[in-house]
Amino acid sequence: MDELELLKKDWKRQEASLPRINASDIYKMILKKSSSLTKWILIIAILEFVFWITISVAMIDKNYFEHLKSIHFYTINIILSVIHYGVLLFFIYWFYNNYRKIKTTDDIKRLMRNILKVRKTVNYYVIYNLAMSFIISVMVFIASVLYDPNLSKIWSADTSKNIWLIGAIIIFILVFLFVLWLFYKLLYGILLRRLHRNYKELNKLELRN
Amino acid sequence: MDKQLEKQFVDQLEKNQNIVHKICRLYTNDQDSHNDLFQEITIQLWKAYPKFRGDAKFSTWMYRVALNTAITLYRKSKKRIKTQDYDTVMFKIESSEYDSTIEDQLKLMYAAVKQLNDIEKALVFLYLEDKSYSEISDTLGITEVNARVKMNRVKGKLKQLLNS
Repeated sequence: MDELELLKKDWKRQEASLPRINASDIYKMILKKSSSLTKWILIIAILEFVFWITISVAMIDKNYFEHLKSIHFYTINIILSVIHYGVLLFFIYWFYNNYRKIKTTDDIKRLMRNILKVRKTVNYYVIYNLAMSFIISVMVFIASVLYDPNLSKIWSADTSKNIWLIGAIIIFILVFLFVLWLFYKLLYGILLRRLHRNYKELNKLELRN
Repeated sequence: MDKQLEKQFVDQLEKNQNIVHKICRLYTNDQDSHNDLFQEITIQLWKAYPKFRGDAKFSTWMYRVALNTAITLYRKSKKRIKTQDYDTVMFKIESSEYDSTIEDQLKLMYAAVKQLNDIEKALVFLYLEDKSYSEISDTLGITEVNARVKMNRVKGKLKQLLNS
């Protein structure tokens, strides 16, 4: 006999040995908080939004604006800020919209796909922030070289020093990006490892049909 | 939330809890995890329940939510409702109807099924629950042809596991 058929015959019999949870325990359970993957993804996404907003707000103080004015960057900064908060709102809306589509009543594959989509939204948000920080740093750096009297003095004094300065900045940025990449790899690697593996397994063969 | 809805849900789940236990038994290896997963599935079922329409069978609707939770959503948690401890993990095979060869074979089969990956377990589970290939493909979100091909591969893999 086919082994699986044998198992199928025994399967019904298993019900006799299953535990019984009574109604009052079920009542208690539905009061408990879920600790599901989607909840973790939501928490991390909110932390990420808060983190990047805090960073952009924390940088602002009186001296910061004065400095920006002195290097003729004030107006550009205001325009960039308006764009930045517009983009931020767009990301939050996009994230919320995708998150709402996660439904446990969907089929297994669609659920996985929707979770991965939500994850991607946050990834794009992080990439956008990194790119934006990089572009603004470069712009501020150029403006400082042009208009900041202290910096232009250092800058024009010695060419070899300039090379060291640029080298140090580049290394700093690279190390920062690497640490961030490692952090993401680890965080989401652990969180989504099982999902990725199962999603791949489900998609196997699918293209051939 | 609505008390009546709550009662209705608890009654239905209590009646149909075997489905959830069978999934827990397949996907977990110890008693704590079994209870933990049972709790998470219950929470997810309850969260989805207000949108459950009576036109589908409660049990059919449960399969999706429970499997989705076991395969994708479940993360271990420590805050679990203490329920009476049972020996939940092992499949019980002893029966006077079986001779010892069949009993041994079944033991090996259950052990082999436990070694399958998450998706293969879902396929076997739905198959053992006597679901048609069209229902299996609907639940997994793959084509029916693919579901059949995968099922054949699972059968092959089980044979291999039994012979190793």
